[in-house]
Amino acid sequence: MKSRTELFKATRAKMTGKGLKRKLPEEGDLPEGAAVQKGSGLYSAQRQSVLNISLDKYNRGQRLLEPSLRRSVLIANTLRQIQEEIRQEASDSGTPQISTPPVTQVSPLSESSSLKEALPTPTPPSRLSMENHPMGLGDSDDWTLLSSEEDFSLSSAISSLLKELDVVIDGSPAPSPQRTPLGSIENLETEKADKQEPCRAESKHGGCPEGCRPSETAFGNLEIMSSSYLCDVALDDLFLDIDTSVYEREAGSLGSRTLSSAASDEFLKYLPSCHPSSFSMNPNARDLNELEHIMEILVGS
Amino acid sequence: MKCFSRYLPYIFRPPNTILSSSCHTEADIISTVEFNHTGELLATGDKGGRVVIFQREQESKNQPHRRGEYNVYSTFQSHEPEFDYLKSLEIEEKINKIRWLPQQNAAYFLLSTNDKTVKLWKISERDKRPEGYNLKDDDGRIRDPSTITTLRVPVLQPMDLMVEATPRRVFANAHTYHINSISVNSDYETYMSADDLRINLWNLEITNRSFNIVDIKPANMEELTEVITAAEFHPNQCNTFVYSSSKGTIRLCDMRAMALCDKHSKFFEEPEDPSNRSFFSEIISSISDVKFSHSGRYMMTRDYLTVKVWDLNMENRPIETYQVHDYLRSKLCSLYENDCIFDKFECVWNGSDSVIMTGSYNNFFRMFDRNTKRDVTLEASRENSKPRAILKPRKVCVGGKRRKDEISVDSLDFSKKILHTAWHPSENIIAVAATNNLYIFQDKVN
Repeated sequence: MKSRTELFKATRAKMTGKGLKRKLPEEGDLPEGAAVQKGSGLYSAQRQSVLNISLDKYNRGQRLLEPSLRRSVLIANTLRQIQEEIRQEASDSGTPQISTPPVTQVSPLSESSSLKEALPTPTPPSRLSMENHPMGLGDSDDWTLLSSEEDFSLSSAISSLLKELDVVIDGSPAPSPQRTPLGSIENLETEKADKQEPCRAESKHGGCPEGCRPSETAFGNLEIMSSSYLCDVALDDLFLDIDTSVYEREAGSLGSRTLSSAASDEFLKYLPSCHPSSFSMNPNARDLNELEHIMEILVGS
Repeated sequence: MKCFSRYLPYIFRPPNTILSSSCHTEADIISTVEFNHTGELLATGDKGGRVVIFQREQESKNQPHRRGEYNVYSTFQSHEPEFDYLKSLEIEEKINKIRWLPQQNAAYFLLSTNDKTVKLWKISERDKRPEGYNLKDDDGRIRDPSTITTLRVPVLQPMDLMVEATPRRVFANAHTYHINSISVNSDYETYMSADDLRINLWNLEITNRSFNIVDIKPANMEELTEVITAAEFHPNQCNTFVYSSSKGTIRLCDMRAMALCDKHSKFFEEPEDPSNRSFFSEIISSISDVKFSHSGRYMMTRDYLTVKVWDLNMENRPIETYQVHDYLRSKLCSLYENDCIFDKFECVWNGSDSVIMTGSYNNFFRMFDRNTKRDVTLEASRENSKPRAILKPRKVCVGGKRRKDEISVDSLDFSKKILHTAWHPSENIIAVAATNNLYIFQDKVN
């Protein structure tokens, strides 16, 4: 009779034929199907594994041109569930108050698609609008986003900004840890381990200590947008070099919420001005370096 | 369970020469199977946008033992790949669903859909052709007017049977998301198409407008946690339909109540079993198919591990639950990793609603007899099925000693999945799609 580990490995070999790289070391420390007590180290390890797999899946899915909505929603819900559990354990165990991001940040949509769908759908005036081309029915978001030229230019400016900032984050040669979508969690953990109380539960590959909030970077680049290094800088300064004449009309700087385009609302969500407590990580050491990088890029564009 | 022990396998595989010239095997993957209302025709759709229709041979007195076999009747390209210029996305031509319309004249009508567009096809036979035109030759060439000296009336002459398929309606541009279901109403005038977030009601005659009857899209897409996975009209009540969700719930709606059916009339959900809770509980509860019974009194739902039968009068739990492949419950993490956990299996009723059938992995499919509570696992494969051989029941062994004919869970081939099956409306004939092969099995009655 084969040992459980061997069986497990054999199953793996057969079933992971799709080339998905396993992040988990195969030391048989994750026997599938074992009834695991919640709260045990093994359970946390399992949870961490599922979390990692989910993140990877989610990010891969989002990179596809047309991610399957059902799949994205299911993966996002799984991530949310794990996030909730971790948060619950953190608050139960009475670790020092850690501000957590609102659950809504975990969204099944990437930035690009959320910009597309960004226009809030006002209740369509008439579901039975017979005169219009069916495309107009209730699908006003896609159309109106593009029909209004200034909205289009604004959202494209914002999306390019977001992309630039992503580049900064991902490609930063600064001492900050490499923030690839998957790597971010491990990196966060190692940082946190330094900064917070010693972890309760330990798992083999530096799995999430109970005080950790992998949820912050649950969506990789998306979440990192809300890091606090943008906190200290007046938003106006950041965008000095952008021609804001288009936006001026909207009565206010980008820092205000009076812009008509919901695309910019989406963008603003990710800025800490809207969620002041969202990111309690304190990367002060990296602030200046990354800020410099941002400025370089903004000036350059 | 006498009838299940005797099945005749007939293996059909559309020869590549008839179908598209690309000959890429991926395009041959069958994506939907459906009998028409009499069972005389069987339609299949594939990933390459083609529809192949099989017709049952008339039983002949000369060969009584050869009960009607299914032969290719018509093949046509239903959908082509398209490009959405607005979003820079390619629209797949894969046929997601085919639904037949009830026959009202000599021609056959069916609806076929890909992710974005529904088409109504008319399949008609031509076995006569007019000959003896005055102004043109039989070849079609115009005759020289000076040679025409007499007048004659064209006469219909028999010709080789020709089956032609023509698109009669194209219902396009009504869905932002991917269409997963279409269902013809019992009023035979309307049908609905459902995508991830919306359901639209169409009149079969009108292509430039549709009514939106369900919309679950949240104002803020970030709050999206649930999508529509399947929808179907009630077989008898033209005002009733159901739709299932990715959270394992089914909503029954009455179109008489309001024009917009966002508010359901009935809500079917089984409370979760806390002992079975895992990280994947929600994913495996996602319903992949919902089908009303022929009687209209019950409905059946398929989620990843089970098939459930619901009484429409009882919302809080199903009346029957059948385990399809519970041995996978301990493998959910691997299945999540390799994406198999997202596979959408369909389920079907037999004509009398006494037996239900659904597919599994390793080219296995399962049948459950609701009356005797017995079930059987069968395999659709070339090796095991010689013509007129009888299908042998298969068994998956979970642990411990593996008996001779059993197969262990770890040896299952997860790339061979049976997602689409169909059951003849009145007889014990089933069609099983195994990747790019179509198997038709009949009950052998002496």
